[in-house]
Amino acid sequence: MRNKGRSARMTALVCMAFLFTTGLALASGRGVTDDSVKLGFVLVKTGPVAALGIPQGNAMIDYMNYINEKGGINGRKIKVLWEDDGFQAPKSVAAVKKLIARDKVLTVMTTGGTNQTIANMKNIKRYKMVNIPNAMALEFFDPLHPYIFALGALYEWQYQVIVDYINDDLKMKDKRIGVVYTKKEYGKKGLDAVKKRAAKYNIPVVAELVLPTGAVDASSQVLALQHAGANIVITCDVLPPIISFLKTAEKYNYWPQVFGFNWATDDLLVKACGPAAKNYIGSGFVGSWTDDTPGIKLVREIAKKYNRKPKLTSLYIGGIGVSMLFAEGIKRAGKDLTPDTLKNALETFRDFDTGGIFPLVTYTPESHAPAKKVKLFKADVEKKCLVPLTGWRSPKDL
Amino acid sequence: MYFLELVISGIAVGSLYALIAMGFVLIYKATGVLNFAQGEAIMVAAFICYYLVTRFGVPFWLAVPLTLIASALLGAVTERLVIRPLLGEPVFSVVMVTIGLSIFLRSMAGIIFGHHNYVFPSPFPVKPLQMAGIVLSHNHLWSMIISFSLMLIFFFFFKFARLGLGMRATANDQDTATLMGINIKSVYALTWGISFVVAGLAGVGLANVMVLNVGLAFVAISAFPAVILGGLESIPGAIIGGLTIGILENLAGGYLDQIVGGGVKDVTPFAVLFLVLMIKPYGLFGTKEVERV
Repeated sequence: MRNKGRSARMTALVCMAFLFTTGLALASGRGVTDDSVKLGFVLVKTGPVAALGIPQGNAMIDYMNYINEKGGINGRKIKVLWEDDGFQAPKSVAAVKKLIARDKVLTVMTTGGTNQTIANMKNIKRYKMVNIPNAMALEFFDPLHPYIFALGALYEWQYQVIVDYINDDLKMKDKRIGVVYTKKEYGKKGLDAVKKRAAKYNIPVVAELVLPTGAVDASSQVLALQHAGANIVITCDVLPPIISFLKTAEKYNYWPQVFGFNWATDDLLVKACGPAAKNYIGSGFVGSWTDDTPGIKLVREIAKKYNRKPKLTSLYIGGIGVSMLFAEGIKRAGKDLTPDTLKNALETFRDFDTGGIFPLVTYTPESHAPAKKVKLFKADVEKKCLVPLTGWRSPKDL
Repeated sequence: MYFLELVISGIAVGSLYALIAMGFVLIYKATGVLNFAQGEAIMVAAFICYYLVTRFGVPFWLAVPLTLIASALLGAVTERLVIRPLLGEPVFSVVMVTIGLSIFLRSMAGIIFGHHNYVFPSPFPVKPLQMAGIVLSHNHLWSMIISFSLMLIFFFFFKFARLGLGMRATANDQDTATLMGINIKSVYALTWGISFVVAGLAGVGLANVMVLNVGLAFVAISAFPAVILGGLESIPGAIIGGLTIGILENLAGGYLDQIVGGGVKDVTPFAVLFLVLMIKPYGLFGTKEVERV
């Protein structure tokens, strides 16, 4: 019996030692040779929300190809592998394991949205996966996670900027806010942020209505908002339901000032809605497709070079931006490229300029928080696109 | 007025649910199978119409009949390749195959049409119809007209037409129907074809009010309570079920969402579904089956 117990302990120790050493081995020399760097990312490319992943994924690959054509980084060519998770956390975990264990990539640049990233937290830590999640959640950088670098302004900050704008800039008497949201994490966070911020300005929130992503019709929501006398509607939902909402509102001749956050701020909204989008203002943490900044000019050049005609332009711009940050990190890490040197390199960013793709980027060893800045864009129905309404703005200190 | 507006818009949405529900009922009525790929038939038809109009420049009023022909062919081919080999097998097996078919069609649609969001170039005037302050879009009006017309057509078809009676007989008992000289293989192919045509009409109607993407297939789930409410084998039941669910959804959304914190609108159809299953398991117009042993 004693022998059995001893051998069980020995087996456990050997297993632990094996796991520890493989973990270290996987993290140290992974994905890097003298002339190449292998990177991976997990983004949805099939299923109902594939439209959100495809432009960003294409952009991430396009930028690295563009860099390769310019000679690569520090003499190394970049190879990028894209795994599809169907926007499901379990598939994202499996895809990450495949990229790390079988493909042996240096890092997984993004593991997908909020749920997917949360599901991968242990893997991120264990395999030292330097990554930028494709979602905006406080828990990604507060408290600090050494290998996660946040992408853009939190949903809460975006809605704070929107309500600040409504209070300070919107010329309208007797402001009455109605909120249309989805019962998903970003929708509920948006609703809470709007209610808290509006309370500080004493602007009444007169209606809160759920609009699911796959809603057939938004008639009851529009009628209820009209009935409640809302002259401002803040939406906390993604693009397709907002398009349905705006078209339904047009049908009922209901023309409130409508606001939306980054996942509903795209040129496609104006193209899809036409005149129904005339009162739309959206927040975003990437520049606009028509900007004349060097970064956006480069985005257009890359899209043309690789024959891309992205329908969701904001996501394509964001994808280029994410790859640009990684490319700069790899460059700064130098020849000794490991997950840790890449992480350390990203932590040297001080007001790194992406040429107008993102606001200036700063990461330090103490904080991987994103810039607290967004731009507001308004619909230009004639040009069928969104045009900047403001410069980069942060929520006011109240 | 607010109440009336909610009811009218509920009828408009309900007529779309009714069209979807009718597709389910047609197949069930004739074959005893619940087709879980009905949503995918709707989505594929919507994409076909979209491509005809936008890529090939076919006028909308010509694209619709072409779409319906394509839908009928898809339905018949589906029956021939997927369903007919299972003739005589337990219904459960056939239902499982329809689930597989739904996944297959959705994946193929993703590969062929892509996963983007498309906006259907609606042929209807943007300005809605207005009567005594009540607003109704042209698209919804057409959905209502088509739903009620189809209800009448199918009512007479199943009541008086030889083929319709054959379809009912086949659903009732395949062996007896065969002995009576009914070609059940043709009946099955025709049923699937007609059901996919109805799905095609629903697809074109939905694509006009929603954003078109592969996820359109999931709208069929919203219509499912309408099928259960009306009774799985009743065409008028599908219409009344669809309209009832549409109205209830809108009233719940208009009145209760504000009071109980939102989301009641989406729960209402399923709450109704549970209630109906408890009180009238065969639906309002379904046929109660009595087995004597």
